[in-house]
Amino acid sequence: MASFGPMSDPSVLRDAAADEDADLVAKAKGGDRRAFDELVERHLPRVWRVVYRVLRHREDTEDVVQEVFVTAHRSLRDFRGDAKLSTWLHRIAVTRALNHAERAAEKVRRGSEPIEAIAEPASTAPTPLHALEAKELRRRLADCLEKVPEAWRAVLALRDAEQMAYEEIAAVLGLALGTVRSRLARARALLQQCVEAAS
Amino acid sequence: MTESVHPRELLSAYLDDELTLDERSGVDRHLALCERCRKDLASIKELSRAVAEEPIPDVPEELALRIARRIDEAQVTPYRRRRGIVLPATIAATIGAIGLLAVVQWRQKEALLQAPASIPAPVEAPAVQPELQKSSAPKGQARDEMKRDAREKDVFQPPVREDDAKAKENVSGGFAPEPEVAPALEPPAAAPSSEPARQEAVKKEAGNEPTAAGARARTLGDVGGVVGGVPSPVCAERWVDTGVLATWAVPDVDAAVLDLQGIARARGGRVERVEPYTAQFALIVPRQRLAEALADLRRHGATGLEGPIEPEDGFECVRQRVALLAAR
Repeated sequence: MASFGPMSDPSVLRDAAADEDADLVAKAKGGDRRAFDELVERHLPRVWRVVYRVLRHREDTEDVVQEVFVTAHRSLRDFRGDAKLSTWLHRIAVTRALNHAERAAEKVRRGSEPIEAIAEPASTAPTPLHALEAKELRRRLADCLEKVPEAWRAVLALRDAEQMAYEEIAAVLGLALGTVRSRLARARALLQQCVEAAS
Repeated sequence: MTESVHPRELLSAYLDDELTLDERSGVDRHLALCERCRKDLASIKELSRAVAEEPIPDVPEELALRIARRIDEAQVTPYRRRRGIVLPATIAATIGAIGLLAVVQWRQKEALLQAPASIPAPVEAPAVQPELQKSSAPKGQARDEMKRDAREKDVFQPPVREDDAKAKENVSGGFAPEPEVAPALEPPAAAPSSEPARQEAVKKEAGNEPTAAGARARTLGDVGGVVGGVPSPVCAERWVDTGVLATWAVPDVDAAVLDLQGIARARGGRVERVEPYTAQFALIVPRQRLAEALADLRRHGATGLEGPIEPEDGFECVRQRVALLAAR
């Protein structure tokens, strides 16, 4: 049975969650360690998902997610509440993940094939996405996401997986709204090209 | 919008319902005529759904516990300020200092005149000295004016080290008065007479050489990273959140700040608190001294300074903020 009233409105639920966050933040700022632990519990799954989608590596994600919350704890007193706590945490998470990826790339220079190379015209006609079986699509998608730059994976994760509005993505990534729009469009176009061309 | 112009970039935002009404109606009209774009839109939609549904590993069961442990480890050393106030251990272990590696081009004259009295003039500032000598005001008066300017400009005065503070507490029988000029920066060193002596002095000033008291501790350590940024009012907040500049966890924030001051002094720059934060600092140096300042920071244990600043985003943020500080 459908329920009616304020609590059935997702935005109201989000506001309520934000209010609870604000209470916990105030307590944590006052030195209440349990309050901060509760914030970790509340936000860990989402932070985990975003960091994993950027890094696509489980152990690295574990390291980075720990850093994110240690950083958040250290910087909590500087959090003024102008933005939602989740936005603030995602900002730390994406930045830390991109830093980590950058450092890893510098150390290893894994030599992964750049996406532009994938986007070369295929020798055979590309397979339209709708013609792919779900399993094959997932396989190709996973391969292609590995080749998409991490910064683009971040924008895909925030939009497609976390369903954030462009405005919130802009706040998380520190980008202008137009940059979010164009970066997302480019990321999707390249991903599409890659998936359709992948054999 | 004609059929021949395919609005590929708009299709993505169309799918997300992030277009203006005009844009949306334009895309609607195009889609009605263009089969290729309709297919593209369907593909983007399919891909977007596939990305959302891509399976990812579950959060490890003990991760929350490990996070709690890491936070505990970071809270080990209580920190005592010079006024006898014990700060929470959290702050003690992790108070950060931000080194803002300035990308602003200072004219030497401006650098000297804007610098607080506590920061000596750049070592390489020959063009400025004659200007000052021409001044009709006595040197002491000029210096007092510079001090006043510095205070008015909210230039950060470094805290004294704890042992200095204790000595002052003994004298005053309580809280030490705020030092007008940081003890570590007084008295200003006499200018070395020869070039080798000058270079030697600069090296020591920047902490390159062990002091007579022994090898100095590395005061700037764990890296926050150097990325991101945004040309918007949240810029300053992002400095902290994302480490556009570097944020360090330091064992002793006073020592770290004093070392930042040392670098600033040696490289003709200055240190400022980054408002509204109480423990974030900007090290501003003239562009031509930037490489030296970076090397100094590394010698003090700072790492991660090579991180990227995206030209389209972070650099603009840094530039604006530095320009703002320099203009004060």
